[in-house]
Amino acid sequence: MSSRSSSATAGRKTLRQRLAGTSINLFYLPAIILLVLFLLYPLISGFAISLYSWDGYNPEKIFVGLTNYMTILRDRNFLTTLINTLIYGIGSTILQQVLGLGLALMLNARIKGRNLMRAIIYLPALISAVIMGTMYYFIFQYQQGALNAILVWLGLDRVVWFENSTNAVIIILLVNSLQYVGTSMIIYLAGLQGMDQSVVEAASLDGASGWKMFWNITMPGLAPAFTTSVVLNLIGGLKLFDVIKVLTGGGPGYSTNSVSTYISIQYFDNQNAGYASAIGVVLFVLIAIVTTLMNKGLDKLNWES
Amino acid sequence: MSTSKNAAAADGVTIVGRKTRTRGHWAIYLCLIVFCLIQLVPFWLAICQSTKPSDDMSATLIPRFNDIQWSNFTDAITQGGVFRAMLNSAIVTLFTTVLVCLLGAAAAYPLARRQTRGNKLVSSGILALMMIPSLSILVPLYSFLVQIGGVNSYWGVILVLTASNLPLSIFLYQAFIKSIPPSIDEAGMVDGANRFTVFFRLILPLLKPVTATVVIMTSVGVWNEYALSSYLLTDQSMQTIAPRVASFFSANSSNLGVGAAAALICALPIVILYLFLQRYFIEGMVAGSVK
Amino acid sequence: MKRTPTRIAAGVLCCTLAVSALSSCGSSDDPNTLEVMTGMSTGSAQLEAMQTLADRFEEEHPGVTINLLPGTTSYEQDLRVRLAGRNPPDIWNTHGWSRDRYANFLEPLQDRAWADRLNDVMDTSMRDEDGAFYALPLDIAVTGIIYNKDVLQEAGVDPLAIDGWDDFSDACAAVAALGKTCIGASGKETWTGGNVIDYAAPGVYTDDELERLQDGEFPAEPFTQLAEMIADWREAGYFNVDYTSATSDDIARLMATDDLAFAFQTNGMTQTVQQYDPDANLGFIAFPSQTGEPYLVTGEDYALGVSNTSASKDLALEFIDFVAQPENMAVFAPVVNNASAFDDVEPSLGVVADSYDYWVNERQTRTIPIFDRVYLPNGMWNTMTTTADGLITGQIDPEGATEQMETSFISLYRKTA
Repeated sequence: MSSRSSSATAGRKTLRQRLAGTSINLFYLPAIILLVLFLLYPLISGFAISLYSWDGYNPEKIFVGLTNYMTILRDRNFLTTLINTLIYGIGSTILQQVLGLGLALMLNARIKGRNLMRAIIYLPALISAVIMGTMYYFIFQYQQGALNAILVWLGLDRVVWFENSTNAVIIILLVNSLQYVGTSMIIYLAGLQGMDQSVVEAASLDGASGWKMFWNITMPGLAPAFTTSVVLNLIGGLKLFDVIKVLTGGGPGYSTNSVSTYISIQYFDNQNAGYASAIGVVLFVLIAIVTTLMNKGLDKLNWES
Repeated sequence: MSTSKNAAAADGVTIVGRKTRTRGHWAIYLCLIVFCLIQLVPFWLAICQSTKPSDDMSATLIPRFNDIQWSNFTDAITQGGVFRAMLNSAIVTLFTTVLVCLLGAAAAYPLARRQTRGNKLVSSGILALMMIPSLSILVPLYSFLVQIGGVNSYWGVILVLTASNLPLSIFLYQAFIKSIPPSIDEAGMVDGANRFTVFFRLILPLLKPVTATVVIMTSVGVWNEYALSSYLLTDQSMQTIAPRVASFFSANSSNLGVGAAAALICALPIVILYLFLQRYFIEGMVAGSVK
Repeated sequence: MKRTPTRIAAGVLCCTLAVSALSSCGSSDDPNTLEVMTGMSTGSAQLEAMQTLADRFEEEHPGVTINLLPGTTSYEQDLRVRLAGRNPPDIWNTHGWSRDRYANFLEPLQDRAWADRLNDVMDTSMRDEDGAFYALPLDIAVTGIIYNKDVLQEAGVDPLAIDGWDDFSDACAAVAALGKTCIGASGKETWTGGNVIDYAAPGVYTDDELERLQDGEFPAEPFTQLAEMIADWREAGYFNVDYTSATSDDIARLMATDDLAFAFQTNGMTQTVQQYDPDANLGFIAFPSQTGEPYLVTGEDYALGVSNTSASKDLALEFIDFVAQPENMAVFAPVVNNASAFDDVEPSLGVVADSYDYWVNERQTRTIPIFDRVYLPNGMWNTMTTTADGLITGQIDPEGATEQMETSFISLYRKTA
């Protein structure tokens, strides 16, 4: 009898606990409602468009099934833009980690004016990418651009900075990295400040022997910062849009387009809204896979350290 | 043993440091100053451009400080309605940021504390939403807002931008809450408080540092948002700054000087806000990035 | 201290409610408000002229508000999103596409009182087979090859003596010898390249071949010729070196600094050039033809259409009627340097007035409608711009260009037929 009642109370308790446990999920209800209404629902409607042939504005749509997805497989321009996207995504992630970490190490030392310098380095990240892109364009512009003005002043010939697609891709990569290097820097600075200051300083200022300490002490301590920074930069780089639009518009030909700008070209210029949506779905899946893989790999890194 | 090691390391800093400080610091300073200059060049060019009338064809690099074209600034303000746009941006940014912080922190709490399979799925689903290319949702989202009458209204754009900024804030809050020992919650529960009281009384006050980070990330993002708000707010009296500045550049004619002036004026508030919050920004990241 | 979060939450809730209450007034469904998408940039002379007209109309109609929306470089996209979302503005600038793209969405205007006053120049570009048209043309683009008089003079080229594309290429050689650019185009704004094909194509096809195009056949040879010509220009370095990254603004500036000889754009470009150099010395020549007389291309330029689903359609039509009055048309004419669609509205051609006088009035040059709208199936415009872009950057050869055009032509013709 007593054992029965105790088991009953135990059962009631677990139920209560379980309920208490589930009720905590109410906290994310408002956020989920917003996300479902304003992101998930449009996203799914977008998926639906990818099954149609549609010019993007007239009311008539023709159902074509998976034709748009089959077209992607045969689209050579898509392949170009996919490769570019990976270059932009992975390239700027690497560049931002190297520069961001370097800057963070230098600016973590107690040097004069470091707050000002931190602010200056972060400054471009405060401005919208379209406006920043336009400002960077003033640097590379052929006629009145800053770089060519310097060359002319030195008595040299003007250079066509966007002459070929390789140059253009590199410039786009560089511009994106410079604009958002401040974010990585701040994240690494935060990571460094979360560690034992004297150890870090020793590691960063100790010359040759410091390298060992850097690898053995500083780097493992920065693993969480590394994860955050890589995930943010990767998503930003893979979604790159504005800078490309402003600097080259995707040209010459399709050679500097990212998948995002290619979607815009297909959607609006080519009036292939269905096809553009199919590419959007593929891009979404692609970024999700890359980021998940990265996240898994980075998690492992955190465990090991 | 470890203390002696630490002391030795500390000694190393002062001894070796003094040597490298003369050499090493020079190199570091040089590096940093060059890098800062690189980061400032675009702004210098924008300033130069804003000083010139449109028929000035000299290199952008050279300013015209002896004869500044003030009309660029006055035109930006009068024709462009830049102040009105800044007010709109301020309203949208303020409400969106507050909503993102509140809803984001609340949503992150169960996701960090109760890691069931279902919640893990929800949490990676939210992360996946960060990866949506905004063009993929543009037309369906616009149609939806037209249906619910949310176009050209503050609430429409606020809700949309809140939704699009929530995933990142949830990501950051979640990482931070995981670093708070669960014993705090448990102590609160033992005292008889329910989950809501625990969250509002005990957890929320602890989230201040990461909130600074979320505030900066969100407000910068919303202040500059263009891709969606240029469609959701078309009425001139409702438009925010990014679409306003863009309207100085059209296919037929652009006015670079006025555009640059408008861009500079619009950048000012967010830069000032950042300078005030910079310290907290890093602190928030410290807590967020060291689990 | 501990209560602050709750207080903030309550405060936010109240404020959100307040804001949504505030913003619920003044929606676009208000029958006394007209929303006009202009596609004109803030501070431009065109938008200012529109504002003058809007102010006048508001003055005559107390209680009416006209919201002029300025445009950006993504004007066309903005418009498409609004059409797709079934929320078009009451009136919009149809930027050359009133019949070919927007006819389904626009109110036919041929029965308005002012329709009789229109001259027949706009017939080929704006009227459909039944004589219906869908926008009020604020001007008509009469387009030749824009040139910088000073540059050609320096190169020793007499523009009026250019008779045939060979002469044009010779002129380019003379300009290039000065170290200057012969043809300006912008890869970022692909329409500038697309124009090169669009404007030059009628000159390589015979009348018979043009008819075959309309019947769904693609005579490849003439197009290969045109493509070879463009490829030759590229090889000789006649295009601006910064083609890939240049904006159309950069092209205008290049012409303003007397570093550029020719551009394949409408006269609207001369306005932008003058913004950079008010004393720029500009003109235009007719397009040379290999199959006949030289010609000018006419087409829809700035034109206003009324949404057929507008909640304030009557008011919108009233505004259109108002703008069509001669004294109001005269407000817009001086800001576009183009011909007028109305016989009773004096065109104001500004810097290109003497060119217009020479080619239109003196030589009575024949006019041709815009090539792709009449001879190519709907949707070809974009293939044409990518083809031009490929040729100018050297990414495709003339044969590839022809193939690309032909494939797209055949598939699109099937779709529309």
